[in-house]
Amino acid sequence: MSAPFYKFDLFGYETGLVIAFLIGVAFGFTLERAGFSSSRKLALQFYLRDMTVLKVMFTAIIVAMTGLLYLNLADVLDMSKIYLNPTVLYPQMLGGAIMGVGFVIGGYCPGTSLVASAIGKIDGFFYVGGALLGMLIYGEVFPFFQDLTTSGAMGNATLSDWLNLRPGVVAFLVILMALGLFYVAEMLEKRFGEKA
Amino acid sequence: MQLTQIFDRRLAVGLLLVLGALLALSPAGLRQAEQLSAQDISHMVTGKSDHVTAEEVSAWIIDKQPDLLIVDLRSSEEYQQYHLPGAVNIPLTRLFEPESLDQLSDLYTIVLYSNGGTHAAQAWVLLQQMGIKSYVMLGGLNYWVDAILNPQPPGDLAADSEILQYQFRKGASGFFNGGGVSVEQENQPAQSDAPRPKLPPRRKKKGEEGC
Amino acid sequence: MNSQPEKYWSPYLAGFVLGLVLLATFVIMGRGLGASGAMMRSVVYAVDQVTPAHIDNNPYFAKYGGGDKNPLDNWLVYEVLGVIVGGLLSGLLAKRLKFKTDKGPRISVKGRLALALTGGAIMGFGARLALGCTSGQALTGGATLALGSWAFMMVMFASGYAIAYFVRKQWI
Repeated sequence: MSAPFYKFDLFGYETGLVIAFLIGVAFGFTLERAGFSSSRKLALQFYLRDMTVLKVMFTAIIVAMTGLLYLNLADVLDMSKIYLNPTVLYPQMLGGAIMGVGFVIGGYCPGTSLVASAIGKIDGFFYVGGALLGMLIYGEVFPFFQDLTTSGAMGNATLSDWLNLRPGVVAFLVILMALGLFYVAEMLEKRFGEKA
Repeated sequence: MQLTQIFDRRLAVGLLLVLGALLALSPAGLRQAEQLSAQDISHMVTGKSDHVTAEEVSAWIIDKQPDLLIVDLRSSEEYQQYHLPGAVNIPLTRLFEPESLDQLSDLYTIVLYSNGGTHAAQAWVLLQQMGIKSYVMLGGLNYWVDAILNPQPPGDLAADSEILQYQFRKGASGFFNGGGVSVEQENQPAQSDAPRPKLPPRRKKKGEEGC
Repeated sequence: MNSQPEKYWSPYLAGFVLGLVLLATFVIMGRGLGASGAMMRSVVYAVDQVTPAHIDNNPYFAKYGGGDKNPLDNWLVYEVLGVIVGGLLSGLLAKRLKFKTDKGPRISVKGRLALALTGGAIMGFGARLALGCTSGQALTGGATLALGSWAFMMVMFASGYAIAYFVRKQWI
């Protein structure tokens, strides 16, 4: 096993930063090509008229997930060295609820607002400004609810820990769910979509 | 056009289903970096990539090496009586509790010590098996006390290198006993005498957030 | 010469490419993608220029820029710079570079900009509470099957659908 390369010391911190930039370029390029530089396209997701967000996100998730698991199976990649978002259930769920509201009102999420700004979307600029302001406010009021931010901490829990199933089985279920969602999304777009 | 699109979609869906079903039957995701063979371990031992000397550790402490994590494997009573400056206490019996392992991030240069050398060596092997790289401090705390805290002057016929080593220890001793002796100058020859093992490149600690 | 903007990619193609980018990030760096973390760091950097003491005294800010730490010396910051360049590049090649405001037909530009600012602020706050945004939590955590990230994703979409009716004038 020799992946992830960085964790096996195949290159240093500075090289990592150059790679970060290149990966960012690919990420930004793809987001723009997907149409995520348009707030209206993103927001129409919530009115069932344009399900691009769901399709892109779940396709990306299953591609990356399947790739990770197969690389692990081939003894190329050590899963335990891949950063796993720690689970801190309550702030994540509360934060998610707040972000859902922000998404529909603002029309972007942080990453897509940067891409939108990059191609000159004025609502993108305002959104980025708002997001920076929101983060400043968060930092300022953080001391008052510090306890909440660690409540429901479960460490590196995964869906397979929770369901008590092997990661491969969970992955299969995720693929099935994604295919089901794609089918529903196509139906919804046919029914509610703006143009055929 | 329409036909090929439909065909491609069906193909993609079919492929995904097959790949997913195979994953479901496989142990994917559970495979860890391969266990070290006895040969690997003996190679590391003979290659001296497994240990550091007390002198090196003392130089690191004095230099305030930012990525240094010294682990005291003795019981907490012994730890409270005396421990190396900045050392954390993880008794060998509690090494594999999650909160202990959480402290042993691979971003640190981990130095293990116990009273002698046995427990530290055992912990070293166990950690290697888990993919955590560490160093054993040679001679343990016993040697530390003898050599660093109470260095004995070498005899009249001592070789130059022994005298330099003594000077270094004397300086370090002053530092650790609070004598305030500057070790900066005396540090230099000792370094050329016993080159430090190469430190892993210093890494920035990653933020908690993935976003 | 055609001056019409190019079409977007098919969502599945875009998702596939995005998945490969994410996979490459995992394989090369052992971590995923992100966005809001870098934005947080620029906030801390800006405040640090004005009043460094304030950064050191606030436990949240101090984590990013306390003492001598430079909040911008971070992997995500470089990644996000790339995101901006990548977006610009794509927009340029697809002839989509243009100053304009996206909105539905029933809202004024001013109204839309006010809502963009408000929504951004809500999202920025929520993203810090949730330890990440759509890229860092939903995408990265989703692919690694992180429990909290999936909970986050479900709640975020549910909340979006629940609130959508009340701001429909902005979009449809």
